[in-house]
Amino acid sequence: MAARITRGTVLVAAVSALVLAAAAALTARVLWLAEQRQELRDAAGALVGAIDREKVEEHTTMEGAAPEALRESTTAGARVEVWSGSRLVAVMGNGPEIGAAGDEAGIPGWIVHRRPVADGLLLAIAVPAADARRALRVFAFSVLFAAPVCLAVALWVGRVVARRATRPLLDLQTRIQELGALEPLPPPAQDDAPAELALLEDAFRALWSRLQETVRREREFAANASHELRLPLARIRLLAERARAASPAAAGPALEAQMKELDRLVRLVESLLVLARDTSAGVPRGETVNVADVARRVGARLLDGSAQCVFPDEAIVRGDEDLIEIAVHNLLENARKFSAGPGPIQAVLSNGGDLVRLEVTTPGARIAALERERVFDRFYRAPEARGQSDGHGLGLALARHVARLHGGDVCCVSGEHEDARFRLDLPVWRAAQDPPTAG
Amino acid sequence: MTGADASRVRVAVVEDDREMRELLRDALGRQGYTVTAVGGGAAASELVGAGTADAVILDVWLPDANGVELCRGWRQSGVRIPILMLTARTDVASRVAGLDAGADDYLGKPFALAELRARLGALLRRGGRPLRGEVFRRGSVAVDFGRRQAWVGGEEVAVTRRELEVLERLAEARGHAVSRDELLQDVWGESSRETAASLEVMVARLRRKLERPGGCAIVRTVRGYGYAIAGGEEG
Repeated sequence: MAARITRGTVLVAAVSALVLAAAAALTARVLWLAEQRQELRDAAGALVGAIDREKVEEHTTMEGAAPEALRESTTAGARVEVWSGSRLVAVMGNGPEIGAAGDEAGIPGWIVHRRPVADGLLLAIAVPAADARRALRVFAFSVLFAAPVCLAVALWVGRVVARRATRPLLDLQTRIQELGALEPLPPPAQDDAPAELALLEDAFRALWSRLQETVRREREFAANASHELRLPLARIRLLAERARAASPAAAGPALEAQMKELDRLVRLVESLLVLARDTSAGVPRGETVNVADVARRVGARLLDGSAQCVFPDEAIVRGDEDLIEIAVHNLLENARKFSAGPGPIQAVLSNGGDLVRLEVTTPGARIAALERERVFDRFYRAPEARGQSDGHGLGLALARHVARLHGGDVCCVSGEHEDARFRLDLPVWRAAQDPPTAG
Repeated sequence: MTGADASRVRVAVVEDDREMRELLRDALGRQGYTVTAVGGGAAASELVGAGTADAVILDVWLPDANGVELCRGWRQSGVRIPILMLTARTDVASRVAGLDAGADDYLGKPFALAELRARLGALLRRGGRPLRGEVFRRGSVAVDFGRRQAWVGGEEVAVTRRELEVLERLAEARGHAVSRDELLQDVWGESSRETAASLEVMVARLRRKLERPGGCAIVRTVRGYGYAIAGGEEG
């Protein structure tokens, strides 16, 4: 927008400068010609006076006085002729013959003036117009030299105008950029915003508050749903346990299967509740988590001895250990599910710089370029996984969500023809800002 | 804990859902506990204030009160009995908020009855976790077991949940030795070869993180038996 305003201003300035220059040049030319004519007229008058004086001094006729008078009062660069009818009486100066009759612009390149003298004589005087052209050239050059200066000034003015015009817009943009997830929009820095912008800002505020309301309701729903879903699950679980305790023999495998299904349902509900949490809220007050311990624990539970695990002693982040365990579990579980050999599953945890990074490679599994982001979609299930009863297609979505809650991410980093490799990054632990309260 | 002991232990169950309340009363009654079940915060405060409960199982979401605030209030008025919180919210913030308010343990719904029994048993055996809600200090080391944070000389150090639990168990014994088996039971819930190896690792990490050259020792090894907090006899 600023660029547009600058361009517009420069264009207007340049065009008006050109038009003005042309007008000035024409005016100057007209004025110059008029000036020359005036000088020519004055010179002619002076010559007529000189002839008059010569006639009186020498007691001769006008015709006799003319040649002498012309000789005595020379006019530099000019050609002067004195005619009596069609007879040339006297002449002075070089140049083409002017003639007794004719147009004022009769000789190209010359300015001509004719004036009657007493006794039927005619004085004709002409000066070259070259002088006028040279003056015009000087004028044109000065305009040419002035043009860049004019352009620079126009550019600067354009910039200033553009900046002034777009400042309220930029201010609005900055305020929107610095906006937290659920904060109201702060008022403008200066009160001079134009009316159109105030309308835009009002529209934005209205949209923003609608969004905030939606987010607030969603969170409320998640909290309520959490309570409403967990309570019946807890009841069912206790009821099942009571039934099992009452008659262990009668309960048998049916009840065991039911408890297993129940646990699966609990996990699904937990997953959905985690996914319902807004990543921008993060993990407000995390605890210290050793991802290496988590990975060892999950690895021991899921992987057999053939897996290649490289875990350091410690890789510490701040966050929610239960959630991080879910993320690590889902990555390793996928590796176990989709491993097709040859070669072992690899899980490498590294701890350097600002990141704790877990890379899990699944031998024999391939991820097409098109699938690389889709695998993170909620309820997306790979074709190989669709036949299996366990799993909901939430594993990777959940792992990524957990990582993002912690300020990290999960990505697929393998090429199309490589073994599938997923990378979990979490920001490394940093000391909290608040020291112990009691002294 | 034997059945004869359990019958003398009075457990208060504070849970607003009637069916849950009955199920808990039933399940814990079967274990031999004497259970009093109430459905609201006011009744619970009355029960706890009267001193007629040896342990409380407290639901966070009550119609007339917030379990976390309730717990904080009881602790401030000097209630020392073990408090186990039950909640539908299991994220780390609510967990830490509960422990910070003085709860001794925290269990998310739905839970396995076996886990509830084990945690309640452990709390009763130890008489709660007396160090929750205060900052434990030894030399330049400060540990807040409720908020799960530790500092050495004013600088926070990264100590994990497990490591803090080991340290808390030792600190509770105030310099008396705690056997390896007890530690493993209380922190890991089982005593096996793997968990025993983990205990050694945890203690080594605690020493590395909390003990500074020239500073005071924190964990003392009691040869052939277990560990103890160093220099804690007077504390």
